[in-house]
Amino acid sequence: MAKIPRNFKLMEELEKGEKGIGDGTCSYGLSDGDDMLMSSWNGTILGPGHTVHENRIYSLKLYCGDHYPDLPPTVSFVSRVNLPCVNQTTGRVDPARLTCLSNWKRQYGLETVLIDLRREMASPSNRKLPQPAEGSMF
Amino acid sequence: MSEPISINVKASNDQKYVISIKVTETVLDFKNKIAENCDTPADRMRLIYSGRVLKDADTLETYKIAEGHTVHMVRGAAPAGSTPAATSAAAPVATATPAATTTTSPSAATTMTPAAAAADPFGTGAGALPNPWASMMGGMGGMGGGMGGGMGGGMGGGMGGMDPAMMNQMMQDPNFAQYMSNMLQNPQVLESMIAMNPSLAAMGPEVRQMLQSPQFQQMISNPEMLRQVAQMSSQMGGMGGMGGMGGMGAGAGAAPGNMYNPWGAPAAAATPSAINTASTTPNTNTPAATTPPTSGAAAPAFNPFAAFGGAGTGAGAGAGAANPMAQYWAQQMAAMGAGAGIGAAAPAQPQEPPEVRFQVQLQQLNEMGFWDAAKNIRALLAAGGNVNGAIEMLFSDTV
Repeated sequence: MAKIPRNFKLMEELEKGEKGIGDGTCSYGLSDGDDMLMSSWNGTILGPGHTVHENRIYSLKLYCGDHYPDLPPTVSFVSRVNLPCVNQTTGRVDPARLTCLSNWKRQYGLETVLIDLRREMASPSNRKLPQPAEGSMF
Repeated sequence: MSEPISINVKASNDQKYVISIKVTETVLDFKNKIAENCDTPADRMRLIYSGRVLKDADTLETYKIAEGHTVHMVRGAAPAGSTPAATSAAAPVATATPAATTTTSPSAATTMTPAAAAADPFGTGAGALPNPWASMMGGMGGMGGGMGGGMGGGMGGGMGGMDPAMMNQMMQDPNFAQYMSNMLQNPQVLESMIAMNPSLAAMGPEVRQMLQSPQFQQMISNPEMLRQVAQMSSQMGGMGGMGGMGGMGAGAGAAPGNMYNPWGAPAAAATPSAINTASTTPNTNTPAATTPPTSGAAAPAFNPFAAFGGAGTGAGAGAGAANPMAQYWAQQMAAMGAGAGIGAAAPAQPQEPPEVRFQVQLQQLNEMGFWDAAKNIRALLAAGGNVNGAIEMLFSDTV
């Protein structure tokens, strides 16, 4: 299968994000709509139900470097969140501790990352972790 | 820039609203407009667009929301200092949100259920993605033509009661491929085959062309392909076992569309969606023999198919009568003059939602690290509940 070049891939993701395809639990879009390189993205994750995250909306920043999608985006939380894969001082998601980042594949997208993080929140070991007050930021 | 644009709002309870608003208005105005249409008060709404939570004071312009974009609405907790009435109303929030936030939310499923297919028949299923199933099924349809016709002609029309295992074995036999190929090369055999099978006869000269085409020859002499067809048809239990081959035969209507293009795109577009409907009944093994009584009643209603399909299609039309969706498909297909046999696979009885039916498979996929429930369901539906097939699709990113 032919490789999809970075910008096409990101264009596709942008459109998907704007049109709101998916179930709405994760959302993402460009931080700056005029950014021709489509590098900086915002994302939100709706806290999964029946967990401490329920009813919370987490904001994230995602950065797609020049080598995306060959290399995964760098992801950091803007909203404070207590998760093992998130650095508690910077909010940075440790790529080694999030499956989809450590085993990154070209077919993955920003949505994949957000969904994986959301799944992380809902995982039995993390769902009851004490969380910082809602609305606090890194 | 004062032209109002329409923005889609998707609420967490799967409701959708289309709000017409100017981009110069603020988010708060926008929320008030949404509040007119739903029971969530504006101060409890949280709107998410492109990865951002919209702030009340900002104008929509700030977020560069444009025509046709979708904003997600979430019911948030009541704002601090609200009236007791509002806080007591916070209880339902807890119940409302899980429904929306679980990854297997209804919204994910609706895209696949037949009902939703009615709302958006080809758009999401086939149009948006380069779906390999489209071409594959086109091929399958073609195969079916050969099967329905070939078996009908060559084997004396005895496919109806044939055992899938036997079929499978037969397919692995290289002699069989040879036989098929020879048979198809012989114009006389071809003629009689066509004459014997009304579905092929109705398709006219294209059939001959198709059956004699090198691609078809190749397809038919490829045991792997034949196995797939066999597997496919047994998966589509709704087709009535191998009687389904007859049904698939009618599907050949779609195949020449692909190959020689008189029906080109529409046929291709119809096919994957038809699979969806088809694969929603992986276990309905309706023997073809039981269906004819219904089919008798149904056939006049969809006359176009009667011309197209042999027994298989007739049965399909019967099933179609029982299910409004199938009827819808049936009409779609009749309109295209193609794929009637595939329509035959449509479910005859209402189904429980795919999340429930594929619960075990979904769990398996989840354990393997596929956590996008919506995608998993799509893949499972397309693969007829086969986990391996679904994984294949998930890996090739075609769902």
